Amino acid sequence: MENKVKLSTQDGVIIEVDKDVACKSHLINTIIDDTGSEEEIPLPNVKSSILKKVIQYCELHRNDSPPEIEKPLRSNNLSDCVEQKDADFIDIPNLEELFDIILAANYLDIKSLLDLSCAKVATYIKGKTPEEIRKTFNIQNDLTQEEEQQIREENKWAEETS
Amino acid sequence: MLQTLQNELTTLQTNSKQQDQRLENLYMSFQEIYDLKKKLDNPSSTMHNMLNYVRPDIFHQIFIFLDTKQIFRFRLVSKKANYVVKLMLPKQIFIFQQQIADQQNEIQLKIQDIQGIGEDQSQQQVMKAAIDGVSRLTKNHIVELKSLARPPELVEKIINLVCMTLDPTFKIQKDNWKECQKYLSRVNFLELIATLDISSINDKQLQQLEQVNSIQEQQAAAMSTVAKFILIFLKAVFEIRQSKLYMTQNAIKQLESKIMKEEQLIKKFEKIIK
Repeated sequence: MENKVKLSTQDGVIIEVDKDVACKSHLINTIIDDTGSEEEIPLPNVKSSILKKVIQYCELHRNDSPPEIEKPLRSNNLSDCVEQKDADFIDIPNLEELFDIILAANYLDIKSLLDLSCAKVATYIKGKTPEEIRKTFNIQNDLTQEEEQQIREENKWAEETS
Repeated sequence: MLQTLQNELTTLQTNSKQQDQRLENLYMSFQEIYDLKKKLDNPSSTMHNMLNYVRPDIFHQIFIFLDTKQIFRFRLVSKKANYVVKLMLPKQIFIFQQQIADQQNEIQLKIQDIQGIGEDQSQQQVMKAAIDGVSRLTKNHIVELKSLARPPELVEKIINLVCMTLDPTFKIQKDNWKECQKYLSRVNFLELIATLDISSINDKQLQQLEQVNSIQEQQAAAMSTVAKFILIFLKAVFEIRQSKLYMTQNAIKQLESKIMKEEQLIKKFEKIIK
């Protein structure tokens, strides 16, 4: 029992997990250091379905720390930039779920998962036109022609230098 | 006989049905894989406007994985997208300022590091002797060499190396004599050699230039006077360019160029914020 911790999620689910896996989260690690691992640890910002995915990731890296991801990404295919097991893990077609993982990783302070999930979203932006990005992220174009023209003018140098 | 044939026909029909079923299953599996892959490559649009669903600082974490051009292109998505990018710029400016401060410190350390070294007298003497050797070459020497339809392989190699040293875009390859001849035809070919700025030689050029160490002066001298003096010159250039002094000076140059680019970016960012 000493090696297990209980995590209480936003939707009231209690998930028991190995302490060393849970401690991949700096937030949980700090809480355990401060208050011990006897009591349930409340995670009011994380849904159980997302926490299960986060735990799956932590178990994937129970014995290692993934290397830093190259910035900026050199490819739209994440398999070219991260270990295959991480690329497979983050291949989530539902963007909302992907963003929930980002938010959970940010809240739980798991930098490698935050990087991995952010890099995945970045692959949906990299090389895409504004219209394609709008479609993917369900964004309406509310820029006036003048505003768009001004942005294009301001962006000119970036388009020319890269 | 008829019974046997009937049985065989039944068996064949059963097998055929089973095969059809297997094919159908395979097709369905393939369709499933195809659909999944399509979904992964093109995620379906989200229910919510993600820019409203997620805080700007989370988008900033995503932008870290994109190049500047792509980040700035994101501004064209919507007003909020433009706002999110603009919100990131002060933080970026701060990061650049920190980087510049670090790079300036690094430059200072490198300057201190090479102050003690000073110019290596023996290397300078070798270089002077090498330039003297090149200056002994006349236009006639060059014309004579250039007129060779097919020079010895070693001579061609040395001329290729000097062309590459003078021009980083020059590509060393086999049967490249015609390209070398173009350089030899330049009126100021010898002057270009004598006035070469060694610190302008990049790492890739230096790597290729290392080949001069595998060539003996006597070998070159036996074939061509021009090749001999150019080889001596290239060897001296290589020695100096790979010395600590030059390496450090080059590193300083690169850092200064980085700082310049970062300062330019800061100016561009500040202009956009305003």
